[in-house]
Amino acid sequence: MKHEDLVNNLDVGETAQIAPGVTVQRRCFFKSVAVALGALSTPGFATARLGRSAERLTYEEFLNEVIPVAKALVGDISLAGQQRYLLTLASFAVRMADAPVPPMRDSGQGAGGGTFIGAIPAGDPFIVLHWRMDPGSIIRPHAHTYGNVMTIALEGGVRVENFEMIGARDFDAKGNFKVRKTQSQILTPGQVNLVNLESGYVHGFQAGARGGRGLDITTRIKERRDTTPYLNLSKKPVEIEPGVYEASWST
Amino acid sequence: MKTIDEITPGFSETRRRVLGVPASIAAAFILERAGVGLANEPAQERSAMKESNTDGRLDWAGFLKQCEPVARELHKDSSAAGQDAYLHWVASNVARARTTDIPRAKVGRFGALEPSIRFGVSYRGEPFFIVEWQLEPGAFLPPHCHPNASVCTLGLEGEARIRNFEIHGEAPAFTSRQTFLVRETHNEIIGPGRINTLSAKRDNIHTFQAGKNGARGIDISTYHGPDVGFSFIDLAKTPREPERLIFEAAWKGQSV
Repeated sequence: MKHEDLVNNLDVGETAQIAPGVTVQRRCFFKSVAVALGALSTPGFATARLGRSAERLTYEEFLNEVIPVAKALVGDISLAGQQRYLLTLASFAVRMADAPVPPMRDSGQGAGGGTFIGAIPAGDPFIVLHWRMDPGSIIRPHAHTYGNVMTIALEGGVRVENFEMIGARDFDAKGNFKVRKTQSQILTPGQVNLVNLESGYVHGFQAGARGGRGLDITTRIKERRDTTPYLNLSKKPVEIEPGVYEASWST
Repeated sequence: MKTIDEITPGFSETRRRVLGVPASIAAAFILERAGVGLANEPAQERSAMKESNTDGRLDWAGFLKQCEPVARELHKDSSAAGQDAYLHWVASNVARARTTDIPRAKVGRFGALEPSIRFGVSYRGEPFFIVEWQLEPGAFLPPHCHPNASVCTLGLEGEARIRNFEIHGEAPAFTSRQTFLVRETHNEIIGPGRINTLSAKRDNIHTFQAGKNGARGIDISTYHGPDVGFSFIDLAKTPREPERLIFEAAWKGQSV
């Protein structure tokens, strides 16, 4: 019997398992409706534009909707506050159809050529960088020290990896130290990767066979640093689990 | 007034001070502070600006009040982008929830796995329900799929490695033991405040490996289509295509 049927055949109050560790209980319909109506009557809850959630946004519409929200949230620079901010940007950005492609120049961050970047008009509190990577090209892993980033892929596919230092951050550390890889992710159109200055604040990219294109929405929340620390990694992890590497900074 | 500033490596930004903030936004802020909303303002915008606590964290009631009404509307769009908008909205709200206020579940041991894994439902709402999970040090929850569902996983204590996979090509019915291919799409560490998401359209298979101190967290789960069951997966230890991280796999049913 399918789980759907199983659930439908339950008596009120009876339970069944539908997923690992998940047991459902059939509940009284009228009680559920009452709860829903209660939530909809929450004071200040506007419904006028909610029906538009399925629409794709133009870049301009995206900016118009997201900037007031971003301004309201950008002040909390704690780990949780940045998560909140970046994920909120993401919830708007994934509804965007595409973005204007500006003139691009070499990113200056590649290991070799084939990586390009250009800014497109945005507005406080963030800037929007449009990037393109040729097939197989690489953006060297580098630390974000003063601006967090919400990356969204628009075309192709790239692998993005995030790292962070073990222990306290020290972008001036001399010699070797240890970092761990906090994330390795394939970004395809519509998918996002977050650089929070409190975690996973180093990111690097490698384009797949079709190359890739996307946006970095960057928000400066700390004092600017003059140089960008690039991460030199040992070829193999020194501890396979949890992915610890020997590393050093270069500029 | 104009200032030029480098905001990211190699990029300078010209900041223009706009004296005339658009009237609608200014009005929204004023009305928001007065507890009155604009009917034409996007719901995500209005809800995101609310603060129920002085430290910016939401208690459980505040989280539900802020998250659920918008989530219910975003949930209506089950496209890939719609599910992602929904998931990121839920994630952005739970990221700000005070973790000590998240309801604890009455957990029970799952299967005969050693080290043990415990699950329990801590909240049932609309459109999502929440499952608390507890992994003993070194515990391993085998890969499994969540057809027609999305999951927003939030780490609360300890650390675990989460890996996500997508079916590469076609997969047979759950009853088949025929092999098929999956591609590893995410491999990340989850810990307090860190979030991993999967939707019905991407990263739909996940597996957990607890670190040496074990881990605890929650899965905020939502159906975006009919419940058609799920299956655990036998996954090859080494990839068939290491460069693309493509593995052989087979369904193994609901027992571990």
